[in-house]
Amino acid sequence: MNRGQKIAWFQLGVVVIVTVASIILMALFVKKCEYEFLEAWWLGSGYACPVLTLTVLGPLVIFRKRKGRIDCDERDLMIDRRAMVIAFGSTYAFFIAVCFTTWVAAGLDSLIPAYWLARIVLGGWITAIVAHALTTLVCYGRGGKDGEK
Amino acid sequence: MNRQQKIARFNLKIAAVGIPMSLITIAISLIAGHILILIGLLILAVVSLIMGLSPVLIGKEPGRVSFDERDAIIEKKVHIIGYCTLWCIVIIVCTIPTFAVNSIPTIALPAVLMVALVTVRLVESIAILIQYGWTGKGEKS
Repeated sequence: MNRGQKIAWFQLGVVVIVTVASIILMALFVKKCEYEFLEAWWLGSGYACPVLTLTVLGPLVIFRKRKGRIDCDERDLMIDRRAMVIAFGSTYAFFIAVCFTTWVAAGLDSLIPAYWLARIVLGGWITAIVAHALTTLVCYGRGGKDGEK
Repeated sequence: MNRQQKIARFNLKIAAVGIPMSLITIAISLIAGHILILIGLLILAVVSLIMGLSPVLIGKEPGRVSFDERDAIIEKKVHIIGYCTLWCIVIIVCTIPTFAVNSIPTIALPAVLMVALVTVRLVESIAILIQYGWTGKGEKS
């Protein structure tokens, strides 16, 4: 398994952990503190999302490039760029879907809390990470064999 | 001039006409009334739709190869620049209101989206023309 694949698995793992943690926190806030769903969602995702910074820091700290070793060739670059283009498309699609759905669902001429915008950015970030990681893994064939090194 | 450049120039022309029209309409609406804001946003929506569909409007010439490795590299680079631009716009536009106001009108969401789309296409078009050198010579594949 090469560096790109390790990073992709790590990022997917972090996203899953953050999702599970925010759901558990939401449930706790609703059950124990008797918050409303939206307040619990705001607090739960707010407490869990700082962990997402690991998806950026992980590749820089945990999966550092080793000195004196070339671990990236033309194929790896091509896969990375393809993953980036797919992440771009997915993020774009996410923003379009969320903005129009919210506009129609909340009412065409009504007000929404401003913190929803921050959550839209968070959702776009998660979409980009997941799309990038999944594309990387699919392009390499998911496993660690067959010349991915 | 190749297809990418034609699309980029087409987008620049559309933006040059549509963005001032939309901004003027929105500026007038701040004085006149609420309906004109919707017209301004509608103009922006039409501009973003035309810019988004420009690769379809300027189609490939049948039976001709109009794309080589250099064009592919330029296109990928342009996508990366567009990706970075999209994130910059979304982060700026979504973060500032979170700290500045308590609530926002729902019409702001599609407006943010349209501004992002138009800006991304505009930046991508400029990036294409810069990389090809702004001229119409020697860029054919």
